[in-house]
Order: sequence, then structure tokens, then C-alpha cells
Amino acid sequence: MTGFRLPTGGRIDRTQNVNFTWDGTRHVGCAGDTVASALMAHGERIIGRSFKYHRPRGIMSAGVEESGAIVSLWSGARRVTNVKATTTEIAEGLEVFGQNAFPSVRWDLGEVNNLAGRFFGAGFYYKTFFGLTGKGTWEWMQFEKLIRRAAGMGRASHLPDPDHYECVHDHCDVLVVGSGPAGLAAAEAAAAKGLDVVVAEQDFELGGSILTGLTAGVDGDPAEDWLSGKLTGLAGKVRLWPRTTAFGLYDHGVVGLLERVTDHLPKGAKGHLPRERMRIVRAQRIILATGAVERPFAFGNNDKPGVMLASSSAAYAHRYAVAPGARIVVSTNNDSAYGAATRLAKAGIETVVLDMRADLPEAAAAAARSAGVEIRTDRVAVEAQGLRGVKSLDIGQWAGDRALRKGSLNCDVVAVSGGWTPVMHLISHKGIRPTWREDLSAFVVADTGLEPVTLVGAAAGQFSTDACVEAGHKAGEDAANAMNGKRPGPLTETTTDWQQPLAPLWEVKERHRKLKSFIDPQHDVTTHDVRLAHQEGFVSVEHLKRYTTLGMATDQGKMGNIIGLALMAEAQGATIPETGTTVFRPPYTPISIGAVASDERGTHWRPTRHTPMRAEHEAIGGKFTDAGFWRRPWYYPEGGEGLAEAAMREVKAVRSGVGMVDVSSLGKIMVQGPDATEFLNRVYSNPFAKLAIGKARYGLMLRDDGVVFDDGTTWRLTETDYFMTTTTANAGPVMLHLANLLQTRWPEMRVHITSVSDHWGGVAVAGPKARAVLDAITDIDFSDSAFPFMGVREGHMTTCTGEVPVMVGRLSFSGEQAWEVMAPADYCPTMYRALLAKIRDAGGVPYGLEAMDCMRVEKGHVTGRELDGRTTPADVGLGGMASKNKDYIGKVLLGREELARADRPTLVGLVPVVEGARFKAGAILFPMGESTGPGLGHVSSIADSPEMGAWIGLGFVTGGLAEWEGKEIMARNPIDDQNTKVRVVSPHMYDPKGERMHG
Amino acid sequence: MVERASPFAVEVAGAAEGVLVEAAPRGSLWQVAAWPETFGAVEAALAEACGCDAPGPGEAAVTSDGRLLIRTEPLKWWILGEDGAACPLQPGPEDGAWLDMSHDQAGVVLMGANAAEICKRMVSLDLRDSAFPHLSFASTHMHHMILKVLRQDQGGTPAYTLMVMRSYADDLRELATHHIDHFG
Repeated sequence: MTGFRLPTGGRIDRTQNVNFTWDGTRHVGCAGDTVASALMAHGERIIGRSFKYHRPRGIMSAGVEESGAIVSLWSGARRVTNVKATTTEIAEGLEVFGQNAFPSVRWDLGEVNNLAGRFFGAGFYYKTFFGLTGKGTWEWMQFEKLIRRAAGMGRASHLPDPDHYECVHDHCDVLVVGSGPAGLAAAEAAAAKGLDVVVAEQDFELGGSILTGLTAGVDGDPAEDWLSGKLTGLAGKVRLWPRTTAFGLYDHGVVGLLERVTDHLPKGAKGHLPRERMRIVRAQRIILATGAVERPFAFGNNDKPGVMLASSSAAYAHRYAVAPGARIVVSTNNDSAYGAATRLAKAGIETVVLDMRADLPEAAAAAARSAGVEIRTDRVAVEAQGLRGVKSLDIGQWAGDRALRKGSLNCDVVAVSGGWTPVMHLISHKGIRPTWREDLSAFVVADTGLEPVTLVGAAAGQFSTDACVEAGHKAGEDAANAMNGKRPGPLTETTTDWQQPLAPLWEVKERHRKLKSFIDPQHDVTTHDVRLAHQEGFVSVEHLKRYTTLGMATDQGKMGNIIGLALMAEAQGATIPETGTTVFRPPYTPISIGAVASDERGTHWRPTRHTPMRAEHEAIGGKFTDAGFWRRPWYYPEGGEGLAEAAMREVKAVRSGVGMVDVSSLGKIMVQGPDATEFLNRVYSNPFAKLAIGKARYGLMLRDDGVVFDDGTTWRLTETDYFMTTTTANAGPVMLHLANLLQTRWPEMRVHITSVSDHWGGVAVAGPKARAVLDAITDIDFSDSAFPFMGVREGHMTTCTGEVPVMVGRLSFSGEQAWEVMAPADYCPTMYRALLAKIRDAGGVPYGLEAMDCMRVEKGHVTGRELDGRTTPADVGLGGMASKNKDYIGKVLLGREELARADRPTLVGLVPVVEGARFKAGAILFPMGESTGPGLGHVSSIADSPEMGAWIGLGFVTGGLAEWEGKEIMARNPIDDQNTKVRVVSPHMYDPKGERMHG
Repeated sequence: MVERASPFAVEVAGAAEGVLVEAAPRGSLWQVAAWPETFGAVEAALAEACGCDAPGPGEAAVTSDGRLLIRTEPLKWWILGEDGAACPLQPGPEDGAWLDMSHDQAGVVLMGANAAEICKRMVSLDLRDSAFPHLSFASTHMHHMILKVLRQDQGGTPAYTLMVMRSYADDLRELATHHIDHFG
């Protein structure tokens, strides 16, 4: 016999059929069904296959602790694997597949593994590291392939996820996690105090334990009436979020929640909504009413389809109107299972209770008997029988530490209750350790310390519904008091309404027979594995966990962790609290990677910055390249040119005439105040105290450790106002550096710094005809006497649509006469068009990053490739800029012996010895005849120089020019085994005297 | 002076249930700063020049000529107004500093009953009415970008202006319209 739909009852909507498929076969469920309840109603027993042994597995629970019914959903790009059938709502058109099996979970060839099970004990794969001979890795490499192929769960799609996800930031006064009696009472009390309350519930229905039918009444009302009344009362007053799992608790009241938005909807109803929504909630107070999960105990073949938790079997009958089987044996060590048995019997299911205790809870037992339940005391489940599911159960008499086999009962379901484990994963994320309670045989958090978190209800070890409600109410009021600055009271005492104490039971053993008993069915961890791990020296629970993988499956040990700990304690001859517990980490239940990424994917995985003249570059066919977040013009091809040809043409045009490059991405910082001059003098390694108004100066900025941080020019606009430029890459870091200095080291300085990087856009106009072009279009006198090198002037540019205010500095990165022309960003497009027209009239061109880089390499100017976080001013040939006459950031540590060593690699120029030869940036430089070791240095930049008519480079060589100038060395690229003989030359390969740019 | 170019490559326009999005107008943005010891005097002078009470930290005030005076940092204010408007206070170096930043920022305005819901998808601020009422201002970040958020309701309808550095304008536009798509 298998499960079947009961004729009446349940919280499902029998009028609303929902079509779905199971391994390609069409099934019909009802609205309100989970995949598990719908499959159970159809009599499906084998839903999954185990991790290692491929043993058949059925539905074991009705919640997130599920370890057997693990399935895959959907197909193609939408395939989702390792999903718990017990928490997944069925939806019209839903495709459900078994996984980790071939050809199907019902008939799986992988089951052969079960025959070789004795070789797959704890840590078997670690042992394969040693191989059969104990020597080596070759065998491991072979084993690894097999293990990787055979193990694991579902197969994810390789296609891009077509769904979209979103991330939402929420705030509230009180976040209540869980909507059972305790949670709803807490929410009601907090809301009554005027607090902004959110209730997050992982289930698709609110109500928690009430939904299972095991709560008879609350506050004197029938439980479901109480629930209905509370939900009606809370509607509109608090935010109620079903289908929302709190998966992680983080610092300062931040809670991660995952809301399943559309998976339960039919395809046509999803519209524009995201599949899932990541909610990052910042709450002032957090109330964890997360309940408890029933735990099993280990007995023979306790993983067979048909073995499930007692409360879950009742939940299927009550909530989903599904009988898990026709004859159910409930094996328990505590009172709570009587409620489940009674509920099953009332549903018309033949039910037998085996209670290992001699003393029965009288009232509960009487109620069960009156419902038709047969009760046997002093009895316990020993071993389930049946090939592909439970057909009978061997039972035994409990003899204190083991069972004595006493016959067998025919049944198709064994419902197990070994007690309850409070769900305290979230508070565990904060590192709060629980304490062991002997009376509950469970870990309970007694004190949450300074965390703004309270545990209530079963999560706090309260196993009486009325006590849960009372504790919830108190927690809600405490939250209001805490927000008013009052210290919240201590956590409510644990309490139960059990009539007889729970008898701790972790494993049923027999004296002369070894049973195959699982404690972590999802990862196929058995009781034997725990003992083996101990035998092999793994005595810490953390080591036990990793060696056996206990609790490392998708259920995160919700079912089996505590049993594993108890067995380890027994093996060690210690108590459970002495053995300790592991720490839970987020996420509480698996969350999809798509939700974590949310909208930060595709083109939005990082932001993109555009210069103000983007449209102008695009209009003339400019090609762009990434430079950090920036999209910068790279080159402007003409007539089918590629990068190299275009850049070569652009360089020639600039050198012979005029060109223009967009330099808007440079960092720009206004430095203002009476102490601005002194501030700059301390920040830069070279002097700034005497920079005249209307002049600019190149400056070198060091880190505290003496290494070059950044370079750029600073323009003095007034007595107290400076305009600083930084490299594109370091715009942000320099701003932070300066702010840090002002706030922490020199707070007395009257200096304001403000990023104006985006207020100003700019171009550099370079070349022998640059002066003429600019002179013709602005009201500024560009003559050499009126506008000398490193001069700064303000004026206006005349365009056909009006005047553009500009700020111009005579600077050169290209080595040519050049001016950087800055304009307020919104005016830059107009400025660019006007300049471009003039430049083209003069036979010039726009040029891009590639040509700019080529010209600066020819000139020997450094960029981030040389200022790479390792070089000193002297290393890059700028030792003279490290002033000896003033203090500045980095001066002290620049004097370190290591940084002053004479044999440090210093900047040189490199040209190939053989005409036409090339070498790569990153190549290692060796003396001739050597090819191994660190070499002399490396190549930092390369360029195909039209001016030199050769491939050229900059690099660093130990001893520098003094030792190597004119000598031949080898540039070796070990990646492609390329060796190029190069000659060391001055890095200033083009116009070394600077006559062109000063001219 | 030439016409100002939009920082957005594409026009910012969108509407969904309970929300409209549009580009923030291109206007003037002046920054006025004080020194710690001159803060009180500069604040008072600025308030007088603007004809309004000085806003507190994280607050904005509407000036007598309809501009916005915003306390952006402990020692700094922004004055947002129409294009070409002069800086209302130009303190000397001994009192503070002033700076034209009119082209530095690009903004979008989200307006409507669901505007805060859209913003919550981009910004981690507490935007509840109790925490971020009309004429509130905050500096925060969004998707690796520095972000300024200003709430200035329009006739009782919630409206939030999100401002980023100009070069990020299109990212801001794309994100805002993308999230509006989620609202139909």
C-alpha cells in the first residue's frame, strides 16, 4: 500500500486542479499541495536516490529538514536542482524530475554502489589520496574522476539563467521570523505598541505548527480559528511575508531573507515579477520564532521509503489530506508523537504507537486510544524491512542500551519521533553558543548577549502552545521597551506540556547484529561512520563533521546533527555538552546564486562611466576600451583600419600636425583654503610652496611606505584654490587619501577637498599646430611668452552655438606642444565639436588611448604600468622629485635601506637589436646567456613606435642605465617561450631634451 | 553660453504603477563650506542669504527664491537652483570656500506612491516616512557608485531625486528604468 488522498479535510483547494509532471508523467494535484504531498497522493514512494549508495529514498518530512525527497525542477535553462519536494508548491505546468539516478530514481543502475557500501565509509575519498599502494596521487586522479561523476546531486543547466531576480533593502522596527503561535503573538504585541513589524515565514502559508494539526487549541480557541483571527487582525498593521526564508543573521540587526516570488505561479501569471527577491532587512529588534524540528533516531534501514517523521506524517494527513500509508507504526520516546498518532487515526489510518518508555502519558494515550490507536509500551523500532520501501517493521523491547527483537509488524509507514531540536541556526550565525538541556535532550540558547535578538516559542525550548503565545507576547512588548531604551527581560524559561519526560534515544542497537542505520540520510552518513571517524582519531565535532560530511548536505544537519554528536559523545565516553556542537553558518536553507547576484549581472555587474563626449566619439566611429569603470576612446579607424594601423596614423598626425584626445577620465580635485599650499607641500614629494598663481606643477605623491602612489599636475588658480589632477585609476584612492590625511593627521588644517572629476571634462590638444588651432578658437593668448610651459589660463572658446568657458593648462604627456583644455562637462560636447572642426581643418585627427600610450612610451613618461605599487621615485627616474628640504608623506620610509639600494631595478628604454623583432610587456629581462631565475627586471610597457620605426619598450633593469646603457640583454617571455634580444637605451627615446614640447 | 548637454545618452522617461521617472533638471549646484570655527557664522549668513532656516544635518530647506539649501556634510552645504543662478554666499578664505559644481552630478527623479519601493531596490537607506521625510537628504552608495538621495515631495506625492557623478548617468538611468519594469 502507498499514500493516497483522503476523501475529506486538508487545507488544499480541491476545486482547483494543478497539472504537473513527475519524470515526464502527468500528475494532477490540488492548489495548496507541495510536490511531496501531491506525489504522495499519487502513491509515489521513491522520490530520490541517496548521495553515495544510491539507495531509494522517499519523503521523510514535511519541511525544510527533508533529506530524502530531493528533486530537480523545470528543464532547459530554468532547471533548478537539489530542491526539497516537501517545501515546493506545485504550480501549473511544473516539471519535477528525480535526480542522481540513471535511468530513473525508481530503477537506478547506481544502486550497485549499495552492494559495495562497505568500501564507501567515512572519508573513503580521502583514503583514495593514498591510492592502493599508499604512495601516490596517480590513482587518486583516476578515483577522483569516478567519484566526481558518481557523487553529487542534480545536474545544473549550463545555459544562462533566463529568469531575473532583484534585491530589496527593507527596514523595520521588529522583524519576527516565523508565523506560528509565538511569532504571531509577538507581532501582535509589538504592533500594538505602534512598532513597524515584519513577519517573515518560509512556508507559503502562515501559521507554523498550527498548520500541522498538532496544536489543538490556542488561548482557549480552536487553533485554526485562533490563527484565522490573528491573521485578520494583523492584516494591514504588519507586513506579512509568506514564502520568505530568513537565511542569515548578520551584524547590527541585518537579516538576509529570500522571497520566492513567482515559482508557484502559472507561467502566464508571472508577468514582470522577478523569480526571487533577496531582501536585506535592517531591523531594530529581531524575534526568532523559528520553531523546532522533530528529529528521528537511528535504527536499521531507517532510510527506506516509508520512514518519516511522526509530526510530518500527521501534517500530510491534516494539511494536505494525504494518508502517507494505510498502516502506520509510530515509534517514539516522547509524548508529542501521541498527537500525531491520534491525528492519523482520526484520518482513518490504522495506527500503532511503540513507546520505548514504560510509563505512558495518560491523557495523551487515552485520547489516542479513543481515536483507535493501538499502543505498545516498552517497544521500539529495530529494523525496517522491504526492498523498495517499508513493508514491515521489526520491533524490539528496549533494554536500556539496546533492543531485544520481539517480532514484526506489517506496515507501510514507520513514523519516528526522537524528540525536538529547537531551530536556532540564525542566532548561531552570530556565534552565540547554545547550552544543553537534559530535560529536553536538546541544545537551547539561554542568552543572546548584546544581540538585539530574542528567541521565543519552540525555538527557545518552549513546547507548550500557551507558553509559546505568552512568550511571544512578552517578546513583542520587550521589543517596544528595548526601542525606548529599556533593557529587555531575560529569555522566557523553557517549558513543556509533556506529561512524561522524554527518554533520550539516539540509536537502536542490537547485541549481536550490526544494523545499517543512517543519521544523515542526505549524505549517507551512518552510525558506523561516526564510530569509524572516532576510531580513526577524529575526536573534535568540527573534524567529525568534515570527515564524515555529517550535516554538510543541503539540510545542514537539521535532522541528524544532534544524533551524530550524541554518538560521538558516547564513543568518547563523554557527555553531549562536553563534546560540544558545531556552528551553523548561512544560509539556513539553500538560496539561488541568481538571487545573490540579483540585478548585478550582465552589463550591470559593474557600473560604467562615460565621458561627456561619448556621443561625439561614437559619431566619428571611435572604438572604446575599458579603463577601470570608464569607457575610453581607444582609436578612430578610417577605411577599414585595425587598431595598430589607426593608432600608427594617429601618432604620426599628432607628431606632424595636431590631434586631440579625451582626458575627461582624469581625477580632478579642488583643494581650497588658507592652508591649501602647505597641505599640497606635505602631500607631494616635490615642493609646492612657491607655485605661482596661473602655473601648474607636476607632482609625485608617495604612500607612507615611500613607494610612489600617484602622479599628476596641480594648477594654482588663486591664492587659496588649487585644481589637482590625478591618474584615472587613482581618482578615488587619492581623494580618500587626502580626506584621511585631513581628518586624522592634520585636522587643524583649513583645507577643503572636493571631487570635481565629473564637473570638468577635458581634452588634450597636442602637436606642432596645436597652438594655432587653440589660438583661433579661444580668447586666450597662446603665444609662448604669454602662455609658457606649465602655465594655466582661463578664458572662453568660441563655437557656432555660443561661448564655452574653459580652463587651459599647458602640459604635455605626448611630448609635443600640448594644452589640456577643461570645460564644464555639459559644454564639452560643444567644445569637442568646435575643436574637432578646427583640428581637421589643420589636417589633424582625434586620437585615442592607444596612440596616447604609444607617444608617452616614446617620450618615457610613466603610467600605472611603471607606478605599480613597488617603485620609488628614483626607480622611475624621478629621484630628484623627492625633496630633501621639506617633510612630506612617505619621506621617512623612503629612506629605508631597501628602498635606497643602489642595485634596485630602475627605468630604462628598450629597443630590439634585430630589426622588426618584438617583445611583450611582462617579459623577464636576463643578461645574455641566462634564462632562469628572477633576471634583471621586466618589461613594463611596449609600443609600436612610428617615430622610432621599431617596436620599443620601457622596463626595469637592475643597475639601470648606469650599468646597462647600450648593452644587449634578453627579453624572455616564458609563457610562449619567446626570446628577443634588446638593447638598453634611455627611456626618453623621443625628443629627450624636450625641445618640442617647450617650443 | 551654449546650451547644456544632457548627461544621459537616452531620454529618461518611464512610468509604472504608482511611479514616474524623469531626469532631474540641469541647474546650478553651488557648494559652500565653512571651517569648524566659522561654521556658526557661515551657517547664519547662508540662511540669511537664502531667506530660510538653516537645515540640520541630512536636511534640506527651500529658499525664499525656490532653491534648495542642503546640508550635505558637517561643514558643507549645497545650493541647488535654476541654471545660471549665482552662489548666494561667497565666503572668503578665512571664513570658508565656495565652488561651482553645476555639471558634476546627474540625477533622476522618482515620483509617486511606489517611488520609495523602487528606491529600495537601489538604495540601502531607511526610506520610511518616519526616517526619511520630505526634505531629507543623504549621501550613500549604490552599485559601487556614490549616491545622493534627496526627498522633496511634489504636492504631497513622494518624490526622490537620486544623484550620481555625471559619468555614471546612464547606469543610473538604466537601473532606475530597469526596476520600474518590475512594477509593470
